[in-house]
Amino acid sequence: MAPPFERSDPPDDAPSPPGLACAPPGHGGDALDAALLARASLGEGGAARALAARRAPALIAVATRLLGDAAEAEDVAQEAFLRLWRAAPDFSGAGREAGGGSVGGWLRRTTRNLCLDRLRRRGRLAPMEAAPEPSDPAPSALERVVAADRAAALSAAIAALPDRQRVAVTLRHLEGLANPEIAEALGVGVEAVESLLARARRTLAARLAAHREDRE
Amino acid sequence: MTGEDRSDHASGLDAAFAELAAAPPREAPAAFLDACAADAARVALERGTAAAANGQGARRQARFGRRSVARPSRGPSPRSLAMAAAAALGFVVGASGALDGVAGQDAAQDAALAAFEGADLLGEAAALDLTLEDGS
Repeated sequence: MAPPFERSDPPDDAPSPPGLACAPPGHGGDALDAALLARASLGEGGAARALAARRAPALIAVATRLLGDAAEAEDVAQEAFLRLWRAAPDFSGAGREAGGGSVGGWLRRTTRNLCLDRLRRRGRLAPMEAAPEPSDPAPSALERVVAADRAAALSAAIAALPDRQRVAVTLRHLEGLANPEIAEALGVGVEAVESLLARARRTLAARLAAHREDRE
Repeated sequence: MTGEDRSDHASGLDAAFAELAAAPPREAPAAFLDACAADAARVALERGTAAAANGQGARRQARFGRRSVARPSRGPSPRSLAMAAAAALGFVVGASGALDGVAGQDAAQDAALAAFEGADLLGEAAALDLTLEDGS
């Protein structure tokens, strides 16, 4: 069952197949996605490839952060696209208009839900009272990126967080979800999410400070 | 702004989050894109095959109703066979044109195989009609 549609994403500069001009950033990205999907649903592989090239990088990036595994993130992103190809008729005509969503938003939500499902199946998102917070892994990840910039350092620090903290931070600060939405996704209360975020931010701030000192 | 927010701001955490969110992700691997395109071609082919089969069934039902009645045995009409062949060819060309090299050939072969399987299904349906009609 396809998840409900949601907000749109900013377009990027990925190439389009012949006959479809690439939209400039900030204009027409949703329309281009819809056009590519319509052509892909008719069996035009070039359109499917172009749509994947436009949207997959961001999906793989967020899935990698949520799952902590790049190869598994690609599996999830491919599954999200497979579901999109199957749901393609829902994006045409009244169905899409009624949903008021976009292809990009649909893909993001599907990818996120697939990641959370995988983490739940492994018990890595168990309720807080059932599974005590694991001890923080060694902060050696940051040491490997001393020469990198601040964003790279933060990315490495996020990857080293415990599962639930990493997911909460990714959904809140990189996916833009509100705390109640995160609470629903994780199956915990809003206060628990606030606690997870507070602990994660403290850890990340400390590691960024250490990174800064290392570079000075 | 809470004390914690101020602390995050002072530590550069807010700015780092903004930089990370704005950083362009790496391009998806070519093999990943090939796999997605092959998936899309397969789904489109399945949808087309199902639509063709449903269309034939609906036409037959409209003509003869639900009863298994004797009627001249015709099998698929030349026109429906031609349409199915054209659709299959279109999917194969679409798949092969989307991909380069070995991946494109593989996708085209997959599409062709699925098309032939679809044609087999149509043929089996026609043979079943013939059996029922001969026995009635």
